[in-house]
Amino acid sequence: MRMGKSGIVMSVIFLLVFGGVSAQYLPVNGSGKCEVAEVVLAEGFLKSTLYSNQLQWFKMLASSSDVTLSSIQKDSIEGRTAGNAEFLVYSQSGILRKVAGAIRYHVSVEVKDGKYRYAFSDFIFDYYKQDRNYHMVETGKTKPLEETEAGGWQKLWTQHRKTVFSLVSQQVDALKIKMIETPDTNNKPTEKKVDW
Amino acid sequence: MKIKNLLLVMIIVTGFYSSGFSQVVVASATPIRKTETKKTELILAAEEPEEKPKVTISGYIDSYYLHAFNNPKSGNLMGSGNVAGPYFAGRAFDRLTDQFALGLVQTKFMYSDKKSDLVVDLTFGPNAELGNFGNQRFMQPGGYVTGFYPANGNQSALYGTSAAIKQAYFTYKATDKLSFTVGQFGTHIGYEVIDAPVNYHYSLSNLFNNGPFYHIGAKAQYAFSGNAYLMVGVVNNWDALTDWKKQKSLISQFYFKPVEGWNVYLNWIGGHNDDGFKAGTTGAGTTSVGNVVYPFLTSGYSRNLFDLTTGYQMTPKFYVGLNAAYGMYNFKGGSNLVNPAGGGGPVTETAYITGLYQKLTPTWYGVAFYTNYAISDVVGIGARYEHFSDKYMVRYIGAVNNSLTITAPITVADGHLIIKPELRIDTSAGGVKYYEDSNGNPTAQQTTLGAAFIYKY
Repeated sequence: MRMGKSGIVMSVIFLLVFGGVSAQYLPVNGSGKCEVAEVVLAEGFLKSTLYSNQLQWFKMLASSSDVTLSSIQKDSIEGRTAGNAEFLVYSQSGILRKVAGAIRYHVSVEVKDGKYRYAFSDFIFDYYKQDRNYHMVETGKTKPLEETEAGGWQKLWTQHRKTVFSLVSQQVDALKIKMIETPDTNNKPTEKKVDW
Repeated sequence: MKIKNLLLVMIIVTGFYSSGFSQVVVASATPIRKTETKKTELILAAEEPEEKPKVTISGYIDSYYLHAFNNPKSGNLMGSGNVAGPYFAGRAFDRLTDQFALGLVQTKFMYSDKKSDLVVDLTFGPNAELGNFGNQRFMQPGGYVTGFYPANGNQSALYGTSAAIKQAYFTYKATDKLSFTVGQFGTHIGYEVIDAPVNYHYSLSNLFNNGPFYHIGAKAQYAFSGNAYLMVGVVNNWDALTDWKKQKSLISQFYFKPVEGWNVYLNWIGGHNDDGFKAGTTGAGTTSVGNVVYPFLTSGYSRNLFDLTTGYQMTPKFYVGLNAAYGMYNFKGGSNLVNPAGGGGPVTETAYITGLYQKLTPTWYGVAFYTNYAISDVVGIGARYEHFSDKYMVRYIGAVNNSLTITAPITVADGHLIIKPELRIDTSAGGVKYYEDSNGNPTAQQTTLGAAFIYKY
């Protein structure tokens, strides 16, 4: 297979265009805000099953050591659960690792028969600083994740955005697995076999 | 052929860059049976996320260069001492002018797990020794009595390795709300701390310099909620490695957060005979311990310091803070005769004390306003205005001072490097000329312009 000059040029242009998009790390919606959202088909799954599974996923998220979940709102009629999530981000690594700030975002899952929709949105970075008691505390200053520039700390900011992308990707993967679990109608506990 | 190749390249590149977030996806995985789900749930229930122990190291170095427009003949910013008696406390740590000066080198080790924390905070350099001024091994004129003994023939004014310890304590977290701390810890009093990266301004306030730096003791803290806690404790004294008396000082702090972004600390320390500089004279009140003499006033005194520290992040960029402190000594006095160190005795203790401090209950106080604005992530600007009164000369400055400090911190290198250009204007009030001019004569004002360089990791 040989590629002519024009082919190489087009490929380079393609790379430049999509390379720029990927440097965003997080998708951006029509309003220019970072948002990870998708409608997923789940053929054969009833709304009630999907709703139950989504609650289980939120429970898993809440029990995670990395993420703090708050303001959870459940609506079984609408089939919707939503909440605010937050996790810490760090500077440096290993024994030099320190809290640099926190990322908070809104997460919601909505179900219907045969499909569900999830959305991770409103990503905000909270600045932290060390107070006079040597505790890392919020400063009240914030920065939206859709901002790609950070003068004086570009490398660290890019790292935070990558961390968010990675963590949200993991949460989405876990959600997709959880949503397609089926309930078992047999509620009997499994009897232990006894050797005799 | 060429178009085919081009299309192939585009497909490959698109596949490489596409995220997993397409708009509609058909779920094609085989549904998982309940037994497997049940096992997964049980596993999730049993395996609570475990908080692994963490060891972290942090620290910083700092240095500074200042020029004083009053060009003090001595080359330092401490004051002339000619009018305010023997008091030389014009600055806390940034004392040198017209030279590059090393501040402090810190290395802090921390161990933390679910039930306990350990902090070993070591400091070295000129400011480390100033911060540990209470650890001189023997009393010298104008020096500090620490109770450290025994003296020996080879003793010198070396601080020893204790000077390297800024903090060394552990905290036991008995419950989510209750914790206990024992060891040497930074004081809870005040707005500013020794650590340059934590303070907005490099040059420290008179409130800081005339208050305690650290304590050795034990304390307990109870958190009523995320918005309020109470700390109470018992410590030896202020800023001393050892104690020269049996009575201890009590400490307390109440913290609350009225609204998000607004923190309020109400602090107190109180004790008896806990000021090593209030050494009296030889005479009836003298007690010998080993070969070192610890003279103190027979009738004794109590000392209390009340402090309010608060800060409010009014907008994401604009912050205001306030520190106010009021302290008092209460000397019992009495008719016991003592011999004043400068001669002219014997006099009664009451006469001796009122001769030094004008009254048996001398007080001191200070108030400082802070404001700062984050122009960008790199540059900010902040100001501190302070009024401090030690008119009874019962603390270190021995004067009334008004001070304005303007700082414009520049933060780069992912937050590691902070450069602080700073202007500070000090004025002594009440007709007292506290500072020093180029001829070594007293002058009422001292203005410095310079910069500090702080690197933290």
